[in-house]
Amino acid sequence: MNKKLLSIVTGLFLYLIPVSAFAVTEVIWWDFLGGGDGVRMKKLIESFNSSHDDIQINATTLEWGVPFYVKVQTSAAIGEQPDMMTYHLSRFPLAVPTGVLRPISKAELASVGITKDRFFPANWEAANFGGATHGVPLDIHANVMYFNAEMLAEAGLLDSNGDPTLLDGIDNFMAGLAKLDTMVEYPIGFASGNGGMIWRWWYSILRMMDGEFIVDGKVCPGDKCERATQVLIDLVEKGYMPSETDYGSAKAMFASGQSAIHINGVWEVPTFVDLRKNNELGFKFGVRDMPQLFEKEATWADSHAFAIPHSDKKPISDEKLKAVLTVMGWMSDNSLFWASAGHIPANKDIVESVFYNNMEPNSDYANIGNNMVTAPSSHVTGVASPTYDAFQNFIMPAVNGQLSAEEAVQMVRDDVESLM
Amino acid sequence: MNKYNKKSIISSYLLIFPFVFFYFLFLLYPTIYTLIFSFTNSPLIGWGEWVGMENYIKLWNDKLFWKSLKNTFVFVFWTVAPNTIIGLICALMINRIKSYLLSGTLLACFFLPHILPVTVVTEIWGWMVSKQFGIIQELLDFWGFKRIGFFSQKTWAMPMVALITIWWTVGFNILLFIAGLKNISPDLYEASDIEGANAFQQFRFITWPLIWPITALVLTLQLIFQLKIFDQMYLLTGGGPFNSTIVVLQLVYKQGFQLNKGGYASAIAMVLFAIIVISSVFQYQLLRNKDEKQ
Repeated sequence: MNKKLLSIVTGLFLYLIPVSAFAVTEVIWWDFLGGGDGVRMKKLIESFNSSHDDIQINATTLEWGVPFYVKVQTSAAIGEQPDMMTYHLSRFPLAVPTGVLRPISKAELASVGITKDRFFPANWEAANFGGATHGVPLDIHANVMYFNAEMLAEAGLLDSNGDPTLLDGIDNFMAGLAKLDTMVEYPIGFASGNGGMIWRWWYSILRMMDGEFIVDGKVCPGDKCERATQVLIDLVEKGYMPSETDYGSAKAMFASGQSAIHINGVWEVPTFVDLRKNNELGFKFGVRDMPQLFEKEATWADSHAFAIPHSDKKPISDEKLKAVLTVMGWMSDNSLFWASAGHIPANKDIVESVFYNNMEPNSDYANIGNNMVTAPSSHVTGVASPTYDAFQNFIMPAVNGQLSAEEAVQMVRDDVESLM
Repeated sequence: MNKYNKKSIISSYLLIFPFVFFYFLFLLYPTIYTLIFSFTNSPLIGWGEWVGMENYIKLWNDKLFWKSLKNTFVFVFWTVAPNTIIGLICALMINRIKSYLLSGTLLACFFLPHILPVTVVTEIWGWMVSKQFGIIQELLDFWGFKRIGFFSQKTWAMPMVALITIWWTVGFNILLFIAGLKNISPDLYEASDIEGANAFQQFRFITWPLIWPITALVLTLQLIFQLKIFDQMYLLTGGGPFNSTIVVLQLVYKQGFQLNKGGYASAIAMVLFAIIVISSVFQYQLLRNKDEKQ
């Protein structure tokens, strides 16, 4: 009995000894990475921790989107912020003016080998919003087309190389869907009830038409926004994709063979790769660039970056800063593994490496680096921005037949312009 | 006066101190701060400049505010009275059951949803009505109806959220009503039985007047709860489609947390606060007077 008590007391005592007694710096890390993304990031963190005796990452995954960004802001206000976090580059225009991102100096970055020339110019520019580096880009993630190779082959929509033949031009695309429509109820499994998903595909289509979302403070000049909306309306109206479908259902429709095509971000690549590996996906699937419906190639893209939250109350200590920079440098150098989450690494050295170029299925959509389009740099666009809301609120009902394209786009104009 | 000696006065102050302390710290203090905030152009975090009535003038001209106010009252219409009536009916039925085991089980069934967190409730219903895989959609198929996007269609979104809210919260009302019913003396029913009153007459002249104070309380509590609607809307409809379900607190959230306009959000919150205070006091007085007349 006494022995048991003793061991409990000793255990408690050991537990209470601060970690710093062993000269280990703990890095508090927040991210918003779920699904296959999250699994891979956790592995990366594990291998960092096991290869570093002096630094240990203590990671927490929080709800993606507005909840994450609000929590970062409120926690920084009272000095309870994490030491480092993931952040979308598209959100830097919203974040930098609020002062929630700590600028990282050239010297600090150089101390762990992070230099401008190792990143894609567009990425680096976005990370330098406001005239200083506010984060280190980790990846580029874009929209892609997933397809059921067996179904497309059966419909005669694959060429001899195994490439889909319906990717070129809207008429060709529609004709391909008409063929698939005889085989499945909905050829495309798409989250037509999710404003964010609609925005990503819609913005790709708009840019294929060479249209712009914001020009000189005006939202949706001309009629291209209406035309892009009409494309999605037609797809639902013709019965080529289901109406009012949530994210999980759209994914499930594709995975269960109820639809032949799935439009989603590259972040779902690991989900389908893992399903296939475990023999839970009953068909061979492929991934390609988005179907090019109009003149130009374009696919919506954004980037995850690492950033340091800033707090007036409790700025990061020199010791922690050093540790965080080490983590950022290590993550960038080891982002090849992150590519297995479907993403394109932001580090050019990795992308140009032999390993990356032999990686499946990433190499099938490697062209994204050349045709990616990012949201206009503005405080009303970007992840979990008013634009995302406006798409949920107005374009989603239009896609599902409750508003005309003209009505919906006008509502978006009024709503987003009122916030600019 | 000498009924209260010094000692009992001290102990009574000591006893109410914890409540008063926390009431000031967590209720009055933030409320006063919000009021001051509402006259500034503060961001979400930190202070801004004093702008006087600007936020309130902006509010008066904000179409979305009026729309959200209207939607809030539409939601009140769909929930307050139905939730009270359904609660009363269920309580009357449970109260008639003689077996303790059965009535206890039924009461537990009705009360169970109430102990679930709102996120669990919305997740359950989200799956049940999912357009592709929802069990309710299968039922619609079976009965030969078209599938319905319950949260994305203008006609369905608001009533559906109201229905879920009733399902979630009616258990609490049933509990209050049963407590009230148990307080009515069985002698009254016995006496009326002897006089030959039928069940309806018993309800009309015994149960209804005697349960009225509870009904008034439930109605008032419901009004306050439902005017504060936020969670279910945020989680199920997000205010859409095209703002047809945006409610006042959601506008506060949008302005404060998404658009970083703490001052303006505070002004909206203060207006909602005033509306809730005025309407609940007004409603309670109205219902109480009716009670006294009877």
